[in-house]
Amino acid sequence: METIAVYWEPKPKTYGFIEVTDLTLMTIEIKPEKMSQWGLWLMELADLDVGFQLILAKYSPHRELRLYILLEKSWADSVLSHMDKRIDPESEKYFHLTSPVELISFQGPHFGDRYGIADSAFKALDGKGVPVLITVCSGAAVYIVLPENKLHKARPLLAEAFEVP
Amino acid sequence: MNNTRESIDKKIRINGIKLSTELVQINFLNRFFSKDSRVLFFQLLAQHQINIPFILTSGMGEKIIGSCCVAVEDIHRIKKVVEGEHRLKENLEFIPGVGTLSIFPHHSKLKLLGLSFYILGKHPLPLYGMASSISSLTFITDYSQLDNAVSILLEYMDLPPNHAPFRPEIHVIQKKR
Repeated sequence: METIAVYWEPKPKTYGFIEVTDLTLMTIEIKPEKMSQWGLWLMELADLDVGFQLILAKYSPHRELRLYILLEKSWADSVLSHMDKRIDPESEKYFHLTSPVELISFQGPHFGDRYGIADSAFKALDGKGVPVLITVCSGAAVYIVLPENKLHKARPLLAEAFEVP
Repeated sequence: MNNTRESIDKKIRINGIKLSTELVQINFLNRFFSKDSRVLFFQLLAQHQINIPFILTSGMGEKIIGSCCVAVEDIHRIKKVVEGEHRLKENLEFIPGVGTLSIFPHHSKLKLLGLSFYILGKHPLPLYGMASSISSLTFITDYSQLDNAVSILLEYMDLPPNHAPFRPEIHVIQKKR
């Protein structure tokens, strides 16, 4: 049985923008042989009740897995002091925190199934003096991580490209 | 550390696992992939009405590191679309036969991520990328390994009774009038 529903919108509809400031972006480069160890360390951070706003992992140009964890800035010191006791600075050369950063995220109906959503977001910000640190489109959600004090510039540009209730 | 090891021995409860259809991963080759190339790539795919269900990019400086996943049935069209664009054609890497596995919910806590990394380090499952979404953690691995990956995860995680991993049954297509 095939069911077809049709609706039309002048620009992609969202359920609203979620904006978060005072965030820290933790970046870790993980060697394959250290994956399980990092898994245990991340579980230890979970035991400290450290939460996250966004996670992504992808391969670096050196073919090592680069993990990004976006968390509240208030967690940065405790994460750093916890990890300092565990990381061997000789072998873990790529562990650092970028702070503060900002996040704008939004979702919309069937965003994961529709073409043109990423294009609308990139086009809205490109060449407008808003550098984008990270973009993730996963499921029906779009996440854009920005440097400090860029959210107020990004919001109206994205609001022109997307319908915000 | 002892608490952490104990929590690995005890299965953690999850609410579900979702598997994708077959996808192809496209990596932007960092050395020559500029911000302009990224804009052009997404613009071309939008113009040709090609959906990109999963995107990860980071753009520190002018160079972009990134990747995305597209449906396997769209890949020939994409190759044709980028064929005429020199700066794209030579700077894209295609990884065929991948799929995504989403575990939910993550409750915005690091436990599910930590356990998943622990498992991925202990078992020979390829990982091409991952990201969180509203409630799930999505991992990209070989499409042919998805069922095997589920079996391995379920050694450490418990689904609710009568729940099984599921694949999408509804396919939404967007068309321009």
